[in-house]
Amino acid sequence: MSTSLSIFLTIHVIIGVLGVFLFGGVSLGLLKKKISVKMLKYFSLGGLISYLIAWVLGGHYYIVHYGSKVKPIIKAGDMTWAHSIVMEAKEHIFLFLPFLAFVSVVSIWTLGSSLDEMPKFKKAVMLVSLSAFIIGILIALAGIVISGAATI
Amino acid sequence: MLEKKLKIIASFTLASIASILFLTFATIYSEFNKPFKDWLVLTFNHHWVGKGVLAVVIFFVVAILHWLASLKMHPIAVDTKVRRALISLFIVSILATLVVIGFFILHFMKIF
Repeated sequence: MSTSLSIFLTIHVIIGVLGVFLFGGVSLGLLKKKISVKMLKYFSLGGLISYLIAWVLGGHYYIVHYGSKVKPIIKAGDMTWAHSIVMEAKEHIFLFLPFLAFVSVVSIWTLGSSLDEMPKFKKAVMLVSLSAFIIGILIALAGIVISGAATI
Repeated sequence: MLEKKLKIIASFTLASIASILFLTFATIYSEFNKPFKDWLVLTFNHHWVGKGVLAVVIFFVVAILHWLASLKMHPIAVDTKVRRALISLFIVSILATLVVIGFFILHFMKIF
């Protein structure tokens, strides 16, 4: 793998995990009776940007390197399911994340402190953020399985 | 003012639901329909890029169309409707995730 690709992959992993943490923070922040609007705005926007960067960098690695170099190694090993199930599911479910993150950002940035006056609505926004968090965790775990399968 | 904001949120929420449903459908359909997968590869250089680009296009088309249509909508119960749309997005995203994972498990086991 070229140096630039390995840098891209490292940034993809770090920034993806950062996005997961930020949406975890957004979900918890929205559970509070009185929300911290500033924190929620920065966390959600940071999470969206993280997911978008992870999407572009991970996508570049997947298209340029994974299919021709990593996939054959996994397919030739004992853990073929790591590609056929985990990677196949990961690459497609990953595409859901920016949309969920975007809705979360738009809701928080447009309504701001008004969310405190609409507790049921706030809970609904929390569920969307929670979804961006849960799916983000699944994607990160899938990445660990695939890396493991490629090195075994 | 609040009503306008809620309508914008509703438009993006429904657009996200449409994009996630499309991605789930396209993911499964492209495994069974080779011409569709080949078209994605030919048009976008990679089937994964094709699905992503089409999902983004669907997202903006649905968001704009819904927002234009919502301008004429009656403001009553907008809050409740948008809240329901957000909850639907949560449910759709979780179900779509399970469907995609389940599909690839069954596909690997050659059941599908």
